[in-house]
Amino acid sequence: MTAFKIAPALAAGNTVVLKPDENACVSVMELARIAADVFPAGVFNVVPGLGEEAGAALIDHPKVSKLAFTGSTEVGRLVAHAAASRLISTTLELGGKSPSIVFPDIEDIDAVVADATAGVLMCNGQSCLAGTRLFIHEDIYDTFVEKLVAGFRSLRVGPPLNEDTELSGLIHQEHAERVISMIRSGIDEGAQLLTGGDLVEVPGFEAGNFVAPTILEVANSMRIAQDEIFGPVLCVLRWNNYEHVIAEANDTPYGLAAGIYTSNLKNAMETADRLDAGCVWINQYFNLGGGVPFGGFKESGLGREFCLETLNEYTQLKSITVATSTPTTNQGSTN
Amino acid sequence: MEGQAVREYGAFINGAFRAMGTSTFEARDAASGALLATLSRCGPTEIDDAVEAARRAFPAWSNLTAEERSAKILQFAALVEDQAEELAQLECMDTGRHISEMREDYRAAVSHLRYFASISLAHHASAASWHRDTWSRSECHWAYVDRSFPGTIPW
Repeated sequence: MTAFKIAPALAAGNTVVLKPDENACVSVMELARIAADVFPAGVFNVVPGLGEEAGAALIDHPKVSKLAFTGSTEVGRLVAHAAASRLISTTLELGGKSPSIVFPDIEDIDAVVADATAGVLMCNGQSCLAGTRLFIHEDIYDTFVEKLVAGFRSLRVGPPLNEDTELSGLIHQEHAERVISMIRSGIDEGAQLLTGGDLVEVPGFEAGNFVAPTILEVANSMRIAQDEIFGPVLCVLRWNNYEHVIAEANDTPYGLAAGIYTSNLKNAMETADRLDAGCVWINQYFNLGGGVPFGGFKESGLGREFCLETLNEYTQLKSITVATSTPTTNQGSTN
Repeated sequence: MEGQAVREYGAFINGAFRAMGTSTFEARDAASGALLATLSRCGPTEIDDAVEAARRAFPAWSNLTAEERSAKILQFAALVEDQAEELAQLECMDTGRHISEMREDYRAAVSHLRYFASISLAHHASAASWHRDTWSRSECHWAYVDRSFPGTIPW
């Protein structure tokens, strides 16, 4: 994440002050130690602290000329307000509630189940681009969901440093409790719990915040299908009408990413065109790398990262037009 | 990595780590609950100093050639790559994320640094030549476009 910000900023010739997330800052301080041996003093600075203290002081600082932020839409608005008050540019990578649509013509259900599972559980679900709403066509729904549930139940939940761990814990206890509380609210509003739904104890790591990989069958209008959960929680929805599924896929405040699984290229391209998302991944979720623009529509953010256009976010254009001689009243050729 | 000393970090400003000071916060191992690090709980004073340091560094850094900046970023990428396993394990402890995924993250981070170190070289050339070729270079008028840098970037 740090590299996503500092690589384009430094390459474009800017100097950087970075305020890392207070819950994920230790490795960033080690990056600073490495940077100390490479960059001239002052080019890259790291100031640890809390968002409401160091973060607020940074975004409001009158001598800062550009703001870039990755985090929640709620805090993104604060950053955008700060940028607006000084008329400086901002790049924001914010929340998501990304849909994936599974068409009935997929060739290998097991492989799509695995891909959709990885798509929602990356970072233990603590990812803005997670594919959290999975729309499955009714022709294959029962089989697909049965395999999905079996796969979630077989995941190895374990400590972070175990080589064979497939899902580990959330970043802190308060967040895990929030995730569990959102799951319970979802059940209260009518979502059906298919698996998971509670904390898991991992022997020897009782302080860890392990949430069981969870699947809920939902309606798109429920809060659980609209709010970003940021945990290992997948919402599944049954569909049978194309126009309806497109409308529902687009019906959230967010627009970061979307997945499509189909063997029909024409269908894939037409569907991609109709989804309100900055990134659409066809037949492989999270197919992302250098050169492919990444960023959100709607409340998922402003600007694009990972690409040539990103350098434009960290530079500004100046046009200089030149007449090769001073003004003259002579209308004839001057050459 | 178990049983190691608790790390301490002050702010990294103007190329050096500061003393931690009296106002601090803790980073705990997300899975074991053990104290992992103590860090300065910085505020407006350190932010002021960091922004000043960044502004002082800006003229020289932005006046390097793109190639010189690119070389520094590539050097940084190589060092991060060398220490990726250690960094990945540390971040796993801090955040609770698992190691197989975190290794991929560090590979992506190194790749990202190299990508921007590379395209920043092409970027300047393309901005200049593209506009010189396509804008109105007719009669005795010539338009061109330069890219300049806005200054200090936080995130």
